Amino acid sequence: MLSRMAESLYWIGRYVERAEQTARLTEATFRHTLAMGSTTEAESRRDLHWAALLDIVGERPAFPPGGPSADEETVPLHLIFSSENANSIVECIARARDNARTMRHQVATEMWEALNRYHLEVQRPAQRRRAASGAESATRFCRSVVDFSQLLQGITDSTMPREEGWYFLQAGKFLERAEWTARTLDVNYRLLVGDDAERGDRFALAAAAHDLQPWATLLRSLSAYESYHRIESRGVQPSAAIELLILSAVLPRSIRFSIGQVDAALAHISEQAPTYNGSEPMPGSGTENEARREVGRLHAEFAYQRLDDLLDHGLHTSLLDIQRRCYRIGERVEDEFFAHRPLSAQEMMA
Amino acid sequence: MQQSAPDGVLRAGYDTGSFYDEAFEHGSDGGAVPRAHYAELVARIASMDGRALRRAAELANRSFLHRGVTFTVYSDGDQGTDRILPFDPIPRIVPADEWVVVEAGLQQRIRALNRFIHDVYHGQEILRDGVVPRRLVVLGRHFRREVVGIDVPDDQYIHVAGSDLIRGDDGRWMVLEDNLRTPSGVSYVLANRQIMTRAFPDWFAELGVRSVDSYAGQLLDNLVGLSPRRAVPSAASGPAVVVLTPGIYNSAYFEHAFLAQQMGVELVEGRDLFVLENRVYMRTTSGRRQVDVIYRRVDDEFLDPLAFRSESMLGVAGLLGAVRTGNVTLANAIGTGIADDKVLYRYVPAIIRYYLDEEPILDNVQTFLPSDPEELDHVLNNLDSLVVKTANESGGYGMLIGPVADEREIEEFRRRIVANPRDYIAQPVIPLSRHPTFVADEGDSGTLEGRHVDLRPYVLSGPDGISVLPGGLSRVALVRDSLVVNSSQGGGSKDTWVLG
Repeated sequence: MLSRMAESLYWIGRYVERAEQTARLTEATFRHTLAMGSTTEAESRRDLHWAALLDIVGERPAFPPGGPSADEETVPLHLIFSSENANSIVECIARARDNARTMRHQVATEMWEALNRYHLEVQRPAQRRRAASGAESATRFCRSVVDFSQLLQGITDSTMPREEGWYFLQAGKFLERAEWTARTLDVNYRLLVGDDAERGDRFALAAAAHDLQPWATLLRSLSAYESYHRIESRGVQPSAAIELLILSAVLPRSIRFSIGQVDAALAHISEQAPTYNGSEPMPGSGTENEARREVGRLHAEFAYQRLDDLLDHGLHTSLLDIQRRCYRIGERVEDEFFAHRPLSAQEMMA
Repeated sequence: MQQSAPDGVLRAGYDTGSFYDEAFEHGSDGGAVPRAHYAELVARIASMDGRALRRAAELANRSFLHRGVTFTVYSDGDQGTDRILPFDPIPRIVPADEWVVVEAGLQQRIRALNRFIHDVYHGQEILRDGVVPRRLVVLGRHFRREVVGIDVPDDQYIHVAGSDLIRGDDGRWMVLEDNLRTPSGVSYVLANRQIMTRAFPDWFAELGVRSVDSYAGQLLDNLVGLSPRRAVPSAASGPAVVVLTPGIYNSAYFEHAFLAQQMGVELVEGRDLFVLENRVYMRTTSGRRQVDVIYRRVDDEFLDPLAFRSESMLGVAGLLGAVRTGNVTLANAIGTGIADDKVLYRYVPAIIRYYLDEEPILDNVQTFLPSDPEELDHVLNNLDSLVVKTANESGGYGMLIGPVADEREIEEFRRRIVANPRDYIAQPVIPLSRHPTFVADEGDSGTLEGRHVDLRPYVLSGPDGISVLPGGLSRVALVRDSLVVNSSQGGGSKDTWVLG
């Protein structure tokens, strides 16, 4: 298919997943912090959680020291509606919709209409006023984002032919998800264990078991709370929760599962996708398949890893490494399939 | 007037005013009587509940918005807003005997204009014979000296045209302008029809309305026929036809996507294409694929930064070279704009006589050229009763409507005309025909009132000749008394029924 179309689908997958993840985490943070009560001590702990959320989405620089404080009023607004935040939910929806628009002749009408309608709805100023009017309406809004994302996935699932385009959409969605889960875990882990991390991950995880509430919240924010109980058949344990979210082969939001989906999608794309009628290789392009090699290697490593290996390596270091590798996979996908690179003079002459 | 439902849209009658009304004429008692070909439709509408019509219109508009059947309006410092072309549920009817004339007139016009374009880029006989002044052609903003001497398949330049037709107070059809570059709007014709058949399914069969469904298929057939590569490497693939769009920020983007989808071809932007050794390729996930025919909706000047405007990001570097070597065909060909120049419009009847040796079937609107010193005086002395148009603007911009303009605007145009007479034309104000149009009332219903309309039919030229889509875009000035039907200036549209 046309490279730009593949790219659009890949980014629709990423943006919608990003919007959903932001909504999930915002909602979870509300739930969690509202349960803390209103003592002065709770107040400052609450702000810590909102600041952590900023770290997860990489928006800390929007709240520099001395500027407006990062709290339960400013952070949700920034993450949901701000047009200055390129990754706010409303912006993600707008960009997913723009991408769908560039290829609306290729996506099912139902899929395009779902995106377009939701985009038009969240752009309405009344919607914004309502969602900004307090924690309850903000969480309700976040819930509607999650519902929308799931509706869209349902429509896609039942309308889209399982051809190249579908696999680009999946690759984008799951690569985004793997990165998010890694970032969410990393930031939350450091927030929840605090200074204990200096005494080693094993000590910190054991010590963290004294307050299980935040770990339950973490599982919930990744839709894994119920699965945790079913799979583990025991109460919430920080180390077991971390293991599940990184290494589970069956949990749809675990890192391993997500990377496995990216791997499978790229396999379909490079092996099974029929070559375009009458197409030839781009001048100057090799035949190596770097994106697939990169994601395949990561996936294979997960298959043989245990939590102990990650702890030996240091949990924070391991999670950072996963994020870096996800980023690299993204770069390779763009290079190989979207052909951004203009042709050089030699290639034009070749 | 026949029976009208007490809550129907004709409960208060209908006033044709002093205009030619498409649907009603004056009866013997002075009241409005439906014309014969409207009788059936008017009877049905009169017996309907006005609220039902209003609901149909609102549903249609909401459906257009959700489906993204929109155009983008840009105002200063604005990111652009998506607007629908408001839909009026009262269809316009053109009876078969009138359509035959319109069709023949358009075919004749496009045939002659195509010959004219070929001539001005080759032998220029019409200029040597002095039928059209040379300076008007070679100094025209849309004359492309870069394509002088370049041959195009079958000498065919105008593959898609959309001329604007109007009717004055005697009901006679006239051509107001020819759009020969990248005319838009046909998607609304198809979308309007789709909505109407859904809302009023039984009206169509009973009245014998001709279908407009064949448009995309006919366009695709014509485009495939333009492919320079008769033998394509893989037999299954066939020639690669693409639609080239400036992208989602273009006001007609919806249409580009829609046509690509209907034809089952790729919708590409300039950045999807590149030229190598005078061949055009598109970038795909499995490498490059050669492109044979480009239905382009990008203006000439933006097509190739190496040949035309170098700052253009919308085009493809080297495209003109590929055209020149005959490795790719563009539809429409580069340079057609010289034939829809507002100044050259005056010469179209002469062009028809020159090439075809026939009398024009469709009339022009009387046009004065300020570039002619005698006509300049007439124009300057009658600015308050003329319409003055800027030769190179479209969309209803850069216009002076004398009778409604104030002193300051008139003086401004006087100054501009004197400074650049070649850039302007002047025409008498034509009292455009009116058509009954649904006007919402303050409650939940509405009434019918006359609103001014024009008609843009779509003309496709291909190896099998010139075909006119039986229908077209009837644009309607929704604002009472307004004569401007452009979508950017408060216009709406209606379905147009050509009877078989």
